[in-house]
Amino acid sequence: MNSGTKMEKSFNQDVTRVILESISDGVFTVDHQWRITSFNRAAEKITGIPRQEAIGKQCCEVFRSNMCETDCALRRTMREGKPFIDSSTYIVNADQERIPVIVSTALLKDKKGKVIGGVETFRDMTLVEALRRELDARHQIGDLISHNRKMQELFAILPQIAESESTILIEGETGTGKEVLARTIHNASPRRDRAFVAVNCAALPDTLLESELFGYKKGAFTGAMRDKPGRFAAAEGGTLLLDEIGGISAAFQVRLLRVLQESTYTPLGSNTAKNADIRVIAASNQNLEKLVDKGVFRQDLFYRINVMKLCLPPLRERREDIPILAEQFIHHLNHTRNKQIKGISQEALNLLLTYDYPGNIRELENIIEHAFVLCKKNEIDIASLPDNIVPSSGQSPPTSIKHSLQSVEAQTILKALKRNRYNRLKTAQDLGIHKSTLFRKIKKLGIPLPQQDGRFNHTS
Amino acid sequence: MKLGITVWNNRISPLFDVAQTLKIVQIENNKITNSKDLSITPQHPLKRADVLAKAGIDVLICGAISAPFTQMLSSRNIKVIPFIAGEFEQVLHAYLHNTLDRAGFNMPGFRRQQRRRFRGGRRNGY
Repeated sequence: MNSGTKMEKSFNQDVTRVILESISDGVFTVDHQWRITSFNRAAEKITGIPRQEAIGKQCCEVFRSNMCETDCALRRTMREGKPFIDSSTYIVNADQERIPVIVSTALLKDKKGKVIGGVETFRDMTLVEALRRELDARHQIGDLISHNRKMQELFAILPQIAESESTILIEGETGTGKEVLARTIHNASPRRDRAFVAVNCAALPDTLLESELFGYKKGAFTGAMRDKPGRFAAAEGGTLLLDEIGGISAAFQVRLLRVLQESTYTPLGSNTAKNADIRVIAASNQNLEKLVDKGVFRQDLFYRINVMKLCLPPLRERREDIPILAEQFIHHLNHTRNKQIKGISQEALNLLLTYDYPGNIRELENIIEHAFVLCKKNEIDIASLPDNIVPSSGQSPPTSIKHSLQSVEAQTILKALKRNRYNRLKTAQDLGIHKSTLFRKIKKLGIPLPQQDGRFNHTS
Repeated sequence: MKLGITVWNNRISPLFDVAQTLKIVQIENNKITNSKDLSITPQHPLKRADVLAKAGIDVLICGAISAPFTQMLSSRNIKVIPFIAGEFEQVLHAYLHNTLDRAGFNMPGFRRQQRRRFRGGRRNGY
């Protein structure tokens, strides 16, 4: 080889290296033993793996894609001798993030055409996927609607949860939508074509609850004139919601545990057990773990139903949803009551945003219905809202975000003060702020305080 | 104690999320008393975690693993030792002799301190 040819070869190699280092697609090459022989700058960036760590390692342990084990594009290329273009896959980086990529593979040959390995190029599709997700962003699943982060997280895992057969425990204050969530899960599950049955366990005494759930045979007790199938039979193949499960007696907890463990139940007055192909969703407005600690709820039953726990935040923790929920209720009422209410005035909405909603979404729904009945214009205004949410002092409601926030802040502090009998130090601890901050806020927001110091109120 | 190791071609499977074979090793007093293979097909985190929990796995050694899978396994009280690479036998030997944390078994790009984020690992420092 003369010096001119050598120089040309060296120049070509340099050009190739510069090109590979400057492109934004990741590129790596492997030998016949699947060991990485080159790894460009973009590959380092996308995988987060420095070149010196990647070189010489098995490509699957560097690339870590969902295709490596079963359908490796590079393996197919090496086997079939032909390139594959734009296969979609994902890789997992060291931060445990899935990075969507598209992959192209080709054979790597030397000057004589002998195959010396394979080359794989891959493009990071994270941004494209993010934009696609943004376009598809779902703020609604079934009847559930929310812009709240916690609810969005719930929406993200809901399809997987629905698809599984696991027992679910839904916890949330009264009126937060536990039954709506249970129904949504049922509607997204493979059991969607079968029945969804909801039972409020706390509403019935033990004996009635047993016959209600399991049914009874003719003659099981006085007045049992004919066989009556229970809710378990009604929910066969479908989903059964056991609402307010924290309210059932200790004796019935034992019976229920047995049914859930063995997937069989016996109707009252019957000698034969029936198989139950039912997905059970339990719901509670009380913290079941605390009930277990108190000894009110059986630990074994708790573990049996607490396979997958979903917590619904109270409405006061998802205030951003108040406008959208109010709009949904107005839309629904317009349809059912044949009215044409367009929406809510800004002042009325400001009031709704500052209210605490002890009854959560159900209370908001009732407030809107109340306003709907009294509304004389085509917009719900303050005059149509119930008295309990309109300030009694007659002061005008806050109209700016700053005032709304201050109003919420003042209400929160006042409630905490009352809760702690006006003991400022305890109130500050309760609110998780320093006592100086509390004093400053009390002064700034003009919160009235009683003459007596809260520290001397302990005996009351 | 039951140790689960996801394996492919006699090495630690590169990605737990899609691994198909789980070797279950029963260990008593740091000795292997039983070992068997379990085929794992479910793909989504909840089901996969259920399969491992049902098999009684206490500790899982695996390759790369995405966050939802770690969360689901942690919720089932399964300790995860992730981002391990190497021959199955060597990894098992290292686990039994408490030397798994040494360089050589970490997947490329994975730092030892990153593993401390996980609930996984043995009592002595993971």
